[in-house]
Amino acid sequence: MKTIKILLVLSVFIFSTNMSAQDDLSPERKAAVDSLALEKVRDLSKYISIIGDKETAWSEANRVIERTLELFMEGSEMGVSSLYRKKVNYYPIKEYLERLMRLNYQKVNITWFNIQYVSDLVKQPDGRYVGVITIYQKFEGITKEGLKYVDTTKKDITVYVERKQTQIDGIPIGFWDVLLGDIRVKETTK
Amino acid sequence: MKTKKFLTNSVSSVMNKLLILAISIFLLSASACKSKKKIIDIEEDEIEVVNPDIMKSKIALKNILDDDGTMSIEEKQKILNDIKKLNLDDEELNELIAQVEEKIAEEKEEMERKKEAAKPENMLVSYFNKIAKAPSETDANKHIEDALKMFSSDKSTVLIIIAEDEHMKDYDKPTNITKYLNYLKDTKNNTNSVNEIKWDANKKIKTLILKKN
Repeated sequence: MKTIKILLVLSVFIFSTNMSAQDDLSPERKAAVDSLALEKVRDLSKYISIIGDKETAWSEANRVIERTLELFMEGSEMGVSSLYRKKVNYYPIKEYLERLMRLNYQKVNITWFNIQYVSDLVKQPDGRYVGVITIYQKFEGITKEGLKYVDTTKKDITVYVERKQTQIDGIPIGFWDVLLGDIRVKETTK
Repeated sequence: MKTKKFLTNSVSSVMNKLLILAISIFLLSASACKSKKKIIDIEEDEIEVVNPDIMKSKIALKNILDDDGTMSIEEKQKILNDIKKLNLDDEELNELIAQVEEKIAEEKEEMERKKEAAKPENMLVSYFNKIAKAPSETDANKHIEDALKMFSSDKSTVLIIIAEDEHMKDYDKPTNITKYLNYLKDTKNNTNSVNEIKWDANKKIKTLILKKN
C-alpha cells in the first residue's frame, strides 16, 4: 500500500513537471509572442489612421473597420478624450470606429508613437498571458473653415494572448491568438 | 660607185630603224612584264584580305550582335564556338568575338534572372513587395488581383511562423490570402518570408506558410 502511494505521488510529480515544462516559454518564444502583440497594436494604429483619413473611400474604410474588429475581444471599449472636456467617453470599438470615419473635419491625421509595454505579458491562472501596452496618439483635425484641433493622448491597451490549437491540412498547428481589450485614456495634452 | 654608196646608206638606215624598233619592243615588253607582276602582287594581297573564313565569320558575328532576339542563346553560342575553333588570326575578328562573348554572357545572366524570378516563391515575394509599396490603393488592388491567380481560392490558408525550435513551432493566428494581401496593403508591414508552399492538384497554392524575419 505504501509503495502504491509513493508511486502515485511520484507519477503526479512527473506529470505536473511535464505540464510545467510545456507551459513555460523559452526566452526566444516569449520574445516572439511579445513582439507579435506589439505588432498587433502597430497594425491597429495603421487601421485607425486609414479609417480616420478623409481621403479613404467609404467602402475601403468599412473593410478596414471589419479587419480592426478582428483584433479586439468582444465587448472591448475605446476611450475618447478632448481638450475641451474633462470627461472621457468610452465607446464600444465598432461604434468608436464608425464615429471616427464620420468625424466632422475636412482633414484628419492620426498617428501613434512610442508604442511599448508598460506591463509585460504575464501568465494568468487561466493560462492566458495578459499585458499592457501604452501608446501616444497625436490627433490633428482641420475643419472646413480651416480651424485646426490638435491633441496628444496617452492610452493604455490591455493585451490578451492565448495559445490555441487548430488543424490545417490534417496537421495540428499551435498558434498564439492575440486580442486587444479596452483602450483607456491616461492623459490628454496639447 | 654612187649606187653602192646609196645601197650601203639605205641598209644602214633600215638597220638603225630595226634596232630602234627592237629596243622599243624590248623595253615595252619589259615594262608590260613588270606591270603584270605588279597586278599579280596586288591580287595576291587582296586574296589575303578577303580570306573567306574571316569574312564569313565577321558577318556571322555581326549578325549575332545585331540580333534582336530571334536567335537562341544556344545558336549564338554554337556559332561563336565554331568560329573560335577556326583559330583565325584577325584583329577585328577577335574584337567581334569578345563583343559576342560579352553579349552572350549578359543574355545568359538575364535568362537566369528571369528563371529565378519565375519561381513561385520569388513571384510571391515580388507581389508582396509591390502591394506593400504600391503608390495608390488602385495599384495595390491590381497587384492583389494578380497575386490571387496563383492560389486555389481567395480563401487559401496563410500560416505565419513567429518562432520555432527543435520541438515546436509557434504560429500567428491562421488567416487567408485575401486578408493577408490586404494586410500588406493597409499596414505596409512586409516582413515575412516564404517558408513553404503547399500545392493543389491544379498547381495552385493551397496553403502558404510564411515566416517572420
